[in-house]
Amino acid sequence: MCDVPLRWADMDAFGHVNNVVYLRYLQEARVDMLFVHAPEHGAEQLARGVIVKWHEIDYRAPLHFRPAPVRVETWVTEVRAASFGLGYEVLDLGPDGQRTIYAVAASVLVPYDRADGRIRRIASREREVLERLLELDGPAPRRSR
Amino acid sequence: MRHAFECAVRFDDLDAYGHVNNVTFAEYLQEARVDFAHRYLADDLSPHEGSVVAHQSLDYHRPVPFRTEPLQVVLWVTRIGRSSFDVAYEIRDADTVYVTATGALVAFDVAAERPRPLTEAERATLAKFLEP
Repeated sequence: MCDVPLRWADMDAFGHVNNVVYLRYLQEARVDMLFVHAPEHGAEQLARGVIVKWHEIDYRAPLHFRPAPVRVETWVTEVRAASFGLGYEVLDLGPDGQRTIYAVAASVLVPYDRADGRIRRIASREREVLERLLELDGPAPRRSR
Repeated sequence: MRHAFECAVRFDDLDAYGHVNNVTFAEYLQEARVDFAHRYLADDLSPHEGSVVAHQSLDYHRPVPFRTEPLQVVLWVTRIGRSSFDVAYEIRDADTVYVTATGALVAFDVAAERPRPLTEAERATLAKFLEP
């Protein structure tokens, strides 16, 4: 999980955090998970590059600017030969543990070698690190309509 | 009918990989959608009658390095409901499709902060762009 600070300019003319910015919050959480924390557990190569193949996001509630950060929980939904899935929830955690969900999202990511500009397979060490974060029954961004 | 929006790529749309960042493509979709709304919907609506994004999905097919030629963002309508509608998008140039995407939009009363039904005029306009 990652606490992401909001910026005043994240809001649009409707006075809500703009839809695009939610994807930016996901990116902040993803970078923290894959480029900061995963290398500490032995998956250094991930920090060399990961590209986004697919995103899906369901917006559940508007967010307004406030000084407190918003929490983004991120987990692994699947690990394949040359790609892996992430699930996300953007939320506030109340003092009583009550969860206010602002968005639920999912991505498919592909490891990428920046040096030669090519996608690559997932190494076994990376697989171990990612599989430790695997959660198969987490929420998914299904369309509510 | 489809709406095509010419979207310039800015130098700072690129990230450390030298490609347009994934988040920025959602911004390009938004630019096309706002252009569409201003061009075809805004005249028949009050300022407080807007729409918000409820859901979106983006498929990234090819990276976009820096370019001075604008990209085309093509938008059309795939469903018209009572208070929501769906759109599909392609971000492309003459030869290549870089991103395909879908979005669900909810007609929204900005003053009351709640969904509203689509107006007759909105429905008629959206119907011209309907390709289910």
